[in-house]
Amino acid sequence: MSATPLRDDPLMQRLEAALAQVNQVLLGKPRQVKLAFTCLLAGGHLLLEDVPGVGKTTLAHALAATFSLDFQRVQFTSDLLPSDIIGVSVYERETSQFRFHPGPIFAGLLLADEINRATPKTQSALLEAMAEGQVTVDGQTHALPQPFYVVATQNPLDLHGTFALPDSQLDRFMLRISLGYPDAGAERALLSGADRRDLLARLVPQLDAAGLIALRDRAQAITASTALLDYLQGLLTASRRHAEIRVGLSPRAGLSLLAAAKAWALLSGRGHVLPEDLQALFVPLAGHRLVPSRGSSGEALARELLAEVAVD
Amino acid sequence: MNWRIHWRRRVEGPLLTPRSFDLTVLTMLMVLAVHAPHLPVWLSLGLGSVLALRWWQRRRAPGKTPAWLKLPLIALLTLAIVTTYGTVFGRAPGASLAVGLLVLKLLETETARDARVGIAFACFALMAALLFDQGLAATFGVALGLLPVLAALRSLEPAQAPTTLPRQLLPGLTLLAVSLPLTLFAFAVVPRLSTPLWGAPQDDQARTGLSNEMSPGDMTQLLVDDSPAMRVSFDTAPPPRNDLYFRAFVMWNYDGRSWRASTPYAKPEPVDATDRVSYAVTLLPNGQRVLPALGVPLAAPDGAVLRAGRVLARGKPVDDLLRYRLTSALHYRFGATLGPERAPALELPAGLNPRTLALGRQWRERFHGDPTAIAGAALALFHDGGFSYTLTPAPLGRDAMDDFLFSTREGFCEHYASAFTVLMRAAGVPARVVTGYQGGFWNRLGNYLLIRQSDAHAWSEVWMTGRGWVRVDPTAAVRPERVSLGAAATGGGERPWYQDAWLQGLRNRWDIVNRWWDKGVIGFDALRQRGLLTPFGVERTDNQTLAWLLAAGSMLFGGAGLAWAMARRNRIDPALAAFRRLERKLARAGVTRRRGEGPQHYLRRAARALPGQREALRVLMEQYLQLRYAGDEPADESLRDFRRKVRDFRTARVVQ
Amino acid sequence: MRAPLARLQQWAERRLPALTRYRRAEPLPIELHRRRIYIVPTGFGLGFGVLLLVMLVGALNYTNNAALLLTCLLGAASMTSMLLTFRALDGLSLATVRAGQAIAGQPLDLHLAFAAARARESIRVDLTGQSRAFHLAAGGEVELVFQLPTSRRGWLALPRMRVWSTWPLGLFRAWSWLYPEQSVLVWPQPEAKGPPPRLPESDAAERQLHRGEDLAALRDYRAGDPPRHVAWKASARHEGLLVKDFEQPRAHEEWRLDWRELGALDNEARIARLARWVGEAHAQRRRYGLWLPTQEIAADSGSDHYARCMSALALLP
Repeated sequence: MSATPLRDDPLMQRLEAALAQVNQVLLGKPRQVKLAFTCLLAGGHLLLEDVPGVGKTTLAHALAATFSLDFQRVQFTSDLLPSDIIGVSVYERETSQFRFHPGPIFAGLLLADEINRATPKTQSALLEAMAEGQVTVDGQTHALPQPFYVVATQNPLDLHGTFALPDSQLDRFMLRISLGYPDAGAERALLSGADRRDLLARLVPQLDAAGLIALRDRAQAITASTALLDYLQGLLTASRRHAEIRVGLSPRAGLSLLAAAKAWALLSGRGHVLPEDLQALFVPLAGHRLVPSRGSSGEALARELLAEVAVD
Repeated sequence: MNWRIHWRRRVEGPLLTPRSFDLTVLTMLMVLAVHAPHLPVWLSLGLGSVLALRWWQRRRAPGKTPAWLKLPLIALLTLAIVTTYGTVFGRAPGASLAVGLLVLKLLETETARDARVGIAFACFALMAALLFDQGLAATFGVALGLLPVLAALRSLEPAQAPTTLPRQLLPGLTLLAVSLPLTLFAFAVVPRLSTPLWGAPQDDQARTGLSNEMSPGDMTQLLVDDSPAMRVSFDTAPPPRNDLYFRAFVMWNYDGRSWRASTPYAKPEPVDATDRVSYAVTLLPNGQRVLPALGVPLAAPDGAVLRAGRVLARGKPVDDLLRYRLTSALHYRFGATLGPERAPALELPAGLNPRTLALGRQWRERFHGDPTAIAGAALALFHDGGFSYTLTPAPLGRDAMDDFLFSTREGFCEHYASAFTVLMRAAGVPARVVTGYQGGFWNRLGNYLLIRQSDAHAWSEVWMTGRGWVRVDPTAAVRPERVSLGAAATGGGERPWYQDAWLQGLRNRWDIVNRWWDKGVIGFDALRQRGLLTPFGVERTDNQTLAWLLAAGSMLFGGAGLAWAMARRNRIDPALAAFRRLERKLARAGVTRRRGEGPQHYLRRAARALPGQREALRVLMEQYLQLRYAGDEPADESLRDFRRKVRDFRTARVVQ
Repeated sequence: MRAPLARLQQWAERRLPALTRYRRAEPLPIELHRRRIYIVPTGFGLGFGVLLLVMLVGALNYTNNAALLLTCLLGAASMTSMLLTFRALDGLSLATVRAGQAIAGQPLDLHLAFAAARARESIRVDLTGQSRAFHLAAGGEVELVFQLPTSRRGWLALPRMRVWSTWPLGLFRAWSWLYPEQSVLVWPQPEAKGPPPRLPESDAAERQLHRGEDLAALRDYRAGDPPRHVAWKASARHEGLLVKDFEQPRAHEEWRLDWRELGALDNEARIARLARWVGEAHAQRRRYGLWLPTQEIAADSGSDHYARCMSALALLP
């Protein structure tokens, strides 16, 4: 089977070690950790929707440390300006020139905390930068570092005085997941174990930027057969035909799903994508992209689609 | 996607679209065209112009023709038909009336319902055209008329993709082509009626062909008619051309103008045959009650009797294609003794043709009543007396034979046979006129003799002591090639320029097709039906058996059609097909796949549910995932292996 | 001809409920297949059959084989057309049903999308007395619009619909009943007129701080605060950095529509009033929120928000 050579690969071994390390810090959430890795390997960005205190920051920190990514955190507020994230050009008297002071966005991993607290203008500045991989200030274009990974968080309960991300922008995030409360065992381990901050401090980098880029290339090379593409297309078509969905999945969403499924297959140690890979990713990927025509939630609709579309 | 949606509210009678109306008009035009050959010319033209006017009127503004115009037209039609035929009953007036009413129906055709009724009756009218002529060409013409019928019916359905008129005719052709096997099957096994349910139609139309009356000049029409009269195939080699005399009528009565085939007595003369020939004749319908026979027929076929002059008479006229077998003598002696028929064989109308009678008497005295010598003198007269052969002779007066023999001296077989017989009788030699066919065209391709109406001929028979009735062909004295080469050779100047050899060849080929049609379709009767079905093990061909056969066969065809109709032509991946099979096996064991369940998930679930097959299922799962998802072109051999494993997979029933 | 046929159909529906109209609702997409397509001759088809019989007897009586052949050909073509009629519906599928938005009493636009792999001609759909005909290219999809009458708010089950065709010759009629397992939501009808909503109190706590021209207050620095908002002078007197907050009054007051404030009215009247207010707020492009016993909808604006609020009102018990 094709899984074996992948396992022997040193790069793959390091990836497994990285996965194990993050799982050690974030207890009882192997699925969410794998999804966060998938997002990273597929070159997407992650949206975490959770109540405070469930380990969003821990996850971001652990990822940054494990992949030796430069970590930045920005707390989004209603008065945050686009330039506060992207950076400003400042006039320097000595050189009589404007010099660009890069903002926190110039990081390997940017944790955008409570992104829905910022004004739409600021949100879209970030989202545009995410989509294009570069920022333009005063006519000058500055490329963002590669790899560049945004983990944004949203508090779903406290909606007072927030600006919900517009539907069109939500699709910039490859996956939307929620960590949720830990189960009893994990919670006990959490309570009795060492302090998270100590653990984070002790994390060692398992992969560097070059290794990550190599893994991304490898993920892109994973096979997706005709039969699988048929199934993927079936899902997309069904999402556009479903009566309760006002806006179905876009072609870009389809591409994202494929890229994510390839990364997921790589993380599962497989050289090809299986329908189950698509199914594992479909809810986090489609949940925030599907616009229901009423009542129902995107996640519920995505689950309904999975149950309806037959796998051939 | 910009499929145009046509919708129409379901109100009573939506108006016909222009296309539908055009097709309906075309249908009626076809009906008119197939009936035109037997309709009076004025009626065809009149109805044609009504069609054209109606078409033009509706194109400008849809709307019914007002009743004040329609009703007088119907009255006019009925009146005209009654005036022409004297009745509206019978085949020809009935057909005229039906076609006329059908065309007039179009005047008020505005809705789909009207059009449907009109088109259905057009089908009936198309069929009715076949009652007049069921030849190959006519039948094909009628079948062609079904194309606008089908296209018009299709066009009445709402909401269709727009298309051109010729394209609209095409699906009808496909439909007919697809229906052909069932058609032929049904045609072959539909039980035929042994006796008609009601009176078969009287042939109220003069047919071209020989008749039981002959007066010089009558046959002119016939001799230029190239339509086939009969076809003869011989069991052995065909006889020489000089012997190809087919007798149909023997005529005794002469009234100075015409010869009539009255039989003075019923008994056929005895015959001593020296050689015999057997053959089969396919006679085309001619409305006569005689069967032409080569030379002298030795026995009558079923349904016919031998009459005096060894003529084959039939009770019913030949209105349909008729096939019969005969054995004839080519060289013979018959009527060795002459009984009471001597008197009618010598009878001549009194007071007519004095010069001819005088010449006969003169010859009788000169040759002392020797019939051979007298006949020789007559033939010599025709040969040397400045007589010529033509199909357009000068008209004859009251003393027709005097005029012919002594002044005009031109004519064709009728004139010569008539004059010769009158001369013989005047000279005291019993003589009679025989009409029939002579010669024919030997079709090498089909190995049969084709006799056309233009091969019609008249000759004489004289009675000689010791020899009986002897055939004498006086035309041969004038134009020997008439006998040796056939009618086509004698026409001379009268033949149109376009009848060259090439065209003749084409016509002969066409005749073979017609012969096949006549034999295979028109002549397909109960007897041939039995002949066709016997090789298939159908021994009895009574109506009940045939009805069963028809029902069973129709079911068979219907089943095949249904299978075709239900076929969902999507090729399924072989690996997937094998997996489906596995799914069915597992479902029987109680592990049903859920809709939307991935194969890996499903087989893992199955492995948990069926611990006995865990290993087998694991292998199957890995193989299947590899085949379906690891690449696009799986190796044949692993596919085969997978299929074999699925086939061999058994779910041991676990105790639940 | 029509009445006996209708009676026969009624009998079949009564006796064979599984076969005909009384099929249970089923999820989309519904693909028509042989088990649910029924065929009977049309009135015209029966008449044509009688005509064929007459032609057959005539041809046999006159022993006219050419006419017999023609009759057989027409008969066989009619039989073949039956298969084509079947094929007109076989494999056709109702892909989606999309309902428009309508308030009770107004007709609701119902969009039915039909799809098929093969090309189709002359397919008709009957629904609540309306009939539509369509044709379809191979692999294509067509959308039909029906007006569904509505009477009261809440879920409205889709009526059964009949898909039928007499293609190609009108001799046979194939039909199938479709009963999609789907309901459409009908919004409540707003009351014709009534009082405007109670305006929100304009106390300062309710107001939101917005960046504007007027300096409102100073607060502690948070990461990400722009440096130019830092109040350097004030910060100098403090331990940490202070940041200037600006505020701007809103153009439109936000409406907070609340179920509880309409305690004097009965349920339906409350719903009608709230529906009217929601409609007015939407028309004025105002931000508004809605509090209902079942759920609370945060203030927002736009047509999606309007739809969400109306749907919530429609679904109230």
